[in-house]
Amino acid sequence: MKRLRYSLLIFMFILLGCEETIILDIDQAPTRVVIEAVLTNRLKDQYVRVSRTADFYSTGTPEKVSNARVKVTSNDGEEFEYAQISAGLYIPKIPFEGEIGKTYTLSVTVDNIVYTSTDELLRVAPIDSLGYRPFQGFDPNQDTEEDVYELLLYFKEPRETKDYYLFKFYRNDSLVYNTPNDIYVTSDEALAESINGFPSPVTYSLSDTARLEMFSLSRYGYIYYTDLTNLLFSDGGLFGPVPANPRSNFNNGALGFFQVSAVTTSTYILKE
Amino acid sequence: MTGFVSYTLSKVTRTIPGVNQGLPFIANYDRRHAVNIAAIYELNPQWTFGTTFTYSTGRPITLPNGRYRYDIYNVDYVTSRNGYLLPDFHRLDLSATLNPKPKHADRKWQGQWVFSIYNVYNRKNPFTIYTRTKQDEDGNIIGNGTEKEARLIYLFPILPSVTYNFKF
Repeated sequence: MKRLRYSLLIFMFILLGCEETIILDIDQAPTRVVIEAVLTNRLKDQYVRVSRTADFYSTGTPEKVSNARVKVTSNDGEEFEYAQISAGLYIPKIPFEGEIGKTYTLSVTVDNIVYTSTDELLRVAPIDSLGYRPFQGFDPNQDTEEDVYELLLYFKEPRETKDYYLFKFYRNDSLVYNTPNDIYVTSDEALAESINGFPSPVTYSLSDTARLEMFSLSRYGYIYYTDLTNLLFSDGGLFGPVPANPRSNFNNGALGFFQVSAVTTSTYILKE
Repeated sequence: MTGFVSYTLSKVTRTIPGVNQGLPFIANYDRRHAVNIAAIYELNPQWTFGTTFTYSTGRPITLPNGRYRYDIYNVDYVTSRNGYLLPDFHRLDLSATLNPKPKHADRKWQGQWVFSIYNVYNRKNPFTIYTRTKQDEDGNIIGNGTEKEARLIYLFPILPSVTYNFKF
């Protein structure tokens, strides 16, 4: 909704005025380390990606860091060493599952600086069921005539804890998004106790296999992903929040986030 | 000929805990220099010419000076708050007013024509700048989707206008 309001305002001004591409003449920032890490309670999810920032006008993927030392420790003394499997991508030498209730600390050493981050693996409410119904809204991205459907989510949201969720939608085993910069997070303040048929932001056709993954986030995770959404959809600060770098949970100035989550997943095949 | 010329020098900074890491930054509405000029010249009882000129330092804005990749997203790395100034704002307007002699001396109403041009040299005064993935005019991505570009939005170009007034 926020994004719609800002795009409408920008659109109005574009009608009045004009746009052109310009070259920004700004001193580029010194490079910073970027760490993207996920740890869940599923066996194969654990990974850490380490890269650097690049100049604004550079092309290609920013430089990946290949000689980092990556390690995860839990609050009860377990240690997991990671090894690089491809440029900048590190996975545990021995696969492990995170456990709900434990706190994990990630430490990444790059060029003799140790970047650490800690987060707790919070439980996630299980998905009761999934359903579907014909698409109810107006989608400018929809350009085919075939019937489109939205997935419906049913689950009971625990009232006694403050919960934050991240959703990932798959259509026939590929991740799908409504627009390329979308991140689907919510806080339980926006949810009722019983979620009865919450519609998906992405659409499906008949005989598609839909899969939903629901991740628990800590409050820091929710803050990081909403900061990131504000930055990705920024209009320069005119009608929305001024763009700012998202608040990461790393020390020593590393960008990115260490996401520790419990996951629950459900699959649904849309039949006639 | 009558008119005025004014110049204002001002500076506003803010320090807000939790914003810009608690460091001072210049306010969104800071305009270091501002110049305003207006002049009116009455050639004869029928024709009066006028002009206005305004100039101010560009609006502060926060823009990217780097980029990185997080998950599937190409993310801007932005400067400290209001770390960049948009190009300066300046504009010249011209006008000519005609009070034609009434055709009959005892006519009760008086007509008046005003011809004006707003933004005479058609300056593209920046309204804001935003960034997006490099793409062409139709929205097709140029390159492999990792490049970014800055887009300038500007509002009113040269606007000529004609107005007719009458007093009765």
